[in-house]
Amino acid sequence: MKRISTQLPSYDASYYMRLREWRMNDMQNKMAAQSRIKDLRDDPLAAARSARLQSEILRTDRWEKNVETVRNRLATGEGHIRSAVDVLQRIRELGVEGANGILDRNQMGYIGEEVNALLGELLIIGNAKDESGNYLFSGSLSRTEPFRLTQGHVPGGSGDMVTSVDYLGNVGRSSAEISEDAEVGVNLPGNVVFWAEQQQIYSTIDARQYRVQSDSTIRIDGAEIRLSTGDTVSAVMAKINDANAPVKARLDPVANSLVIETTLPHQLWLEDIGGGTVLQDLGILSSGDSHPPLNTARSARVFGGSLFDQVIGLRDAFLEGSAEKVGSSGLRGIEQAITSLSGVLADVGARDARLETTGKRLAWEKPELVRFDSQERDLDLAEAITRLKSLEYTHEAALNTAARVLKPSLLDFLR
Amino acid sequence: MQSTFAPIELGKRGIIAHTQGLQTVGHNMSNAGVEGYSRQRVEMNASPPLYFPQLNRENTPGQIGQGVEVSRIGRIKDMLLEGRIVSEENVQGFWEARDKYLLMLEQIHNEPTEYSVRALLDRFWESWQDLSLNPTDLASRRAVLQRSKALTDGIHDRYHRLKSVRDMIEGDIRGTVSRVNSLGGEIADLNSEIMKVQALGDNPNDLMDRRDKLVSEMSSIVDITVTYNDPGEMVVTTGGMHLVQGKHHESLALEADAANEGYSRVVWDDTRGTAVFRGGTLASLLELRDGDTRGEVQALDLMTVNFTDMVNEVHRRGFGLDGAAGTDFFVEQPFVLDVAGNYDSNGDGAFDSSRVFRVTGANTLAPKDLLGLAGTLTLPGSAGPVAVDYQPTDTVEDLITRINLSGSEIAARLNSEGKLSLRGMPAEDTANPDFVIRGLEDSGQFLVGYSGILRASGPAGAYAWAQADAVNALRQDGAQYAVAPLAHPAGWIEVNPRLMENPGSIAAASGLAGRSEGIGDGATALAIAQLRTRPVMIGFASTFDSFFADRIAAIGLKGEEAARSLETVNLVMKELKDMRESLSGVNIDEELTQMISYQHGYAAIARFVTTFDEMLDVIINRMGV
Repeated sequence: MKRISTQLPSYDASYYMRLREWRMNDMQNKMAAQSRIKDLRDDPLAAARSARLQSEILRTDRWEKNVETVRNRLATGEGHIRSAVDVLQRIRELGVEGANGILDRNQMGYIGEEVNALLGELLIIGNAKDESGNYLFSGSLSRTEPFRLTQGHVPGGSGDMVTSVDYLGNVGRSSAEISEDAEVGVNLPGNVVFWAEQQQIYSTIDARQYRVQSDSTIRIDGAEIRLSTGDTVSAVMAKINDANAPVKARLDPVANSLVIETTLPHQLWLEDIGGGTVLQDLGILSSGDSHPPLNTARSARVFGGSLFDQVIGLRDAFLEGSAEKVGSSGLRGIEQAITSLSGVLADVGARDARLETTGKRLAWEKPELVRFDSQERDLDLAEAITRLKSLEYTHEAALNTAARVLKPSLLDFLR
Repeated sequence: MQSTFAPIELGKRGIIAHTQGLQTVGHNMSNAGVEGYSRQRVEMNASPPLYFPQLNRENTPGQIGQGVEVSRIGRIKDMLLEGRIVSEENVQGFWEARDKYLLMLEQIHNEPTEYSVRALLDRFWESWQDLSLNPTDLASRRAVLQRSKALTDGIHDRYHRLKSVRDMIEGDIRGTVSRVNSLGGEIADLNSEIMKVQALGDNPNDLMDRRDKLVSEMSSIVDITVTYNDPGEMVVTTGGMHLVQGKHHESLALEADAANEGYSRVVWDDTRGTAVFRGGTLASLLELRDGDTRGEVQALDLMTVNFTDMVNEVHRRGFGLDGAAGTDFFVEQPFVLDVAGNYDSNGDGAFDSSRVFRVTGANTLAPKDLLGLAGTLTLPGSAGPVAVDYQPTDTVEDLITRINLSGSEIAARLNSEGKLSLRGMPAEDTANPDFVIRGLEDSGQFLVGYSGILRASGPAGAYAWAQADAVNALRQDGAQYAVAPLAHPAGWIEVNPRLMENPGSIAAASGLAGRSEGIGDGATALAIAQLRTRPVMIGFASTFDSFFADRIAAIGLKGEEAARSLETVNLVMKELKDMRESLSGVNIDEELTQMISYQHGYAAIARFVTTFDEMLDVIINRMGV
């Protein structure tokens, strides 16, 4: 015979009502918080994915900002480079005019003065600063004026004029992360931007018998090259040629000495690191701890100059009154300077194009990530409301039933 | 020949029996709402007839009934069902405690929100990104410091919240143990009462109900087995040890465990041996305290130690605006003070162990290089040494992965200079210190000549921590080591105060041979920002991202399991209790019908007595003599 106790229906009713009330409360909390994950146990795997996605979104945000920043910086640099090109164009016009040979000495002098003024303009561009007071073209020495002027008397010139320009910045290339494991160079070192000719350093020491004495490291244009004990000069050259720098090393066929030259117009930046003496022994660098670019050996011969050297050369030719010099080396130098600057502009443009593509990709990816995150984490309101409604309805029904079932007992009928 | 007045005696018996019946009905109805009460029934039997025909064969047909008598008042209870309820109580107690505390642990994670340690860490990396772009900008430097401060505060906060949960569980354990003792005492007292009553041949129904209730409460706390040895002697055992035997009971006691940060161990009061539990609230609490919560603290410590170590490693090689190099970004205190990591574990005044957290080899390795060597590494694991073999055809990367997945308490990685770095992990066993390399041995040359950590291979050249100056086994030229933290790193991590005072000293720039690349260089800042996704090997997780995702999933899944199990056991429990209720519970309607029948029975028997009285009246008063 089946039986129940009098308390059982009320126990049952209260058990299920408690359960349902808890569910309703839970659902209501989730709706209030607009999240389907109130506690991690609600969906641990979705919570873990959501955490990853949130980190990813923040990161994408950062990359977008980085892309913007770098593009702005490059645009600033590009503006300056463009005005330098304009100035150089003007100088070239003057050069072409002076190379005609129909101008007299005085007129040549006047043009020389004008070229000098334009040189000043170029130097202002070379030492330009950005909005936070950092020099644009000094590598990573942001607070060091990149180009130092030496003034002196120039034959035929009036007053003191710039006689040489030295680069005091460095080759530090800072980079910014623009997506996972992708970096882009941010700055434009002045000794690359404002360089006109390929540079070559000829050592005068016969290197055929040379062996590296101990493991050492050299650095060329910021790229580290590790050399091992016993490396011959050809091994050293091979390592230099394989390194990630626009530099080539070869042996001079006559003197059998080491020659290092650039493959892209810029200033060579050579260092022996940590007390090594390989480049010193090979007669490229001077002993002592002077820093590049002022550390080439006295015996070595250095060729190739900066854009400023070319303009100074042209100016001096004008002041000298030599139409022939203006027409030959002068104009050629300016042409090279323009070509080199255009190369830099092309490089900046290419970088900008890459940044733009990356920026577009990030802008497309971010909403996707946000959407994935939302799918993992956010509450489907329609479903939640439906479920809450059905809970409400059943709750009402249960209360109603309980009220009916729990009421009557035999007591109601005993007199 | 029977007595004239015999029917009056019969009537009296009937009246008494029915009064008792009615009283029991009243008792049942009064206790209808009492938890654990089982309804009682009066069992009535016909009284034995007055005489036995075989003794005196008189000329009377059959035996003459002598009315009714109450043979016993029994409680209606299924002891088999009760046994199942008692054992389910144990499961329920276990999951109830687990569910409650795991929810707390989940909430400490603060995920997935923007206020979790993970989110703070993300913002920390972000600030370094900003600094890498603006190394000369003081505002970016301050942002790095503030975000770092927020991060360390977040780590401290999480640590303290975990610690307070652990303390709360400890308090709960203390309360629970004293509850077990008082329950044991009460059960023993009831046993002696019950034995006395039963000796008199009575049924102590209400006492037994009370005892059943206490037993089931005890079962929810510890895993117990209940047996009835001799008639009337009830025995409660846990893990083969007696908790209650008849009127005697054993007490549990607490002992502070120095190896476990002073948290208490549950022992038997008389033998002082450790009491082991497999179910119930107490086992659950012990597991939560020393397993789950300790695991959470260890994971946080692990993250903090590795994070600090790696940020510092990169930061030390960078240069600040002021050209300062070699600065730590984070400081941690207190570490082992001795430079060789020597430590006095037992406090007898002499160094007896070496606590070294990380050793780094002297040689630079390439991850894709073939080893060309064979041998076996012996590394410490949670349950004894773990052997990791390597073959000439393995690459460095292969072997590192194998070490990390071997289950040893050592994590390996190539650091930013390409040198092999081995780090101690949190120890599973509370007897072993966290973040201490407990041993290194190589039968071949990998740890010796190849990576340049150990001096010699084989057992003779092994590194073992349980001695002072164990670091002498490491190569002196080039192998480096760092000493282990003593307290929880998560509780102590701070941004280097020197940097707080002078943000310019934050190393954003890289440099070479002691010379900075220039103040506009952001390579070090970028390298720190990129640690975020670098394979850093914190335990099984290879990156910080996967570490956090892994922790979230782990604690969430535990919570989910606890919630589901609790729901299941609650349902089972409800079924069982419904069954008990349907058998033993009081049904008022039923009691009322019983009441009516007893009432009418009483009235009928009273009527019988009156009738017989009238009959006697006829004999006595009206019979003419």
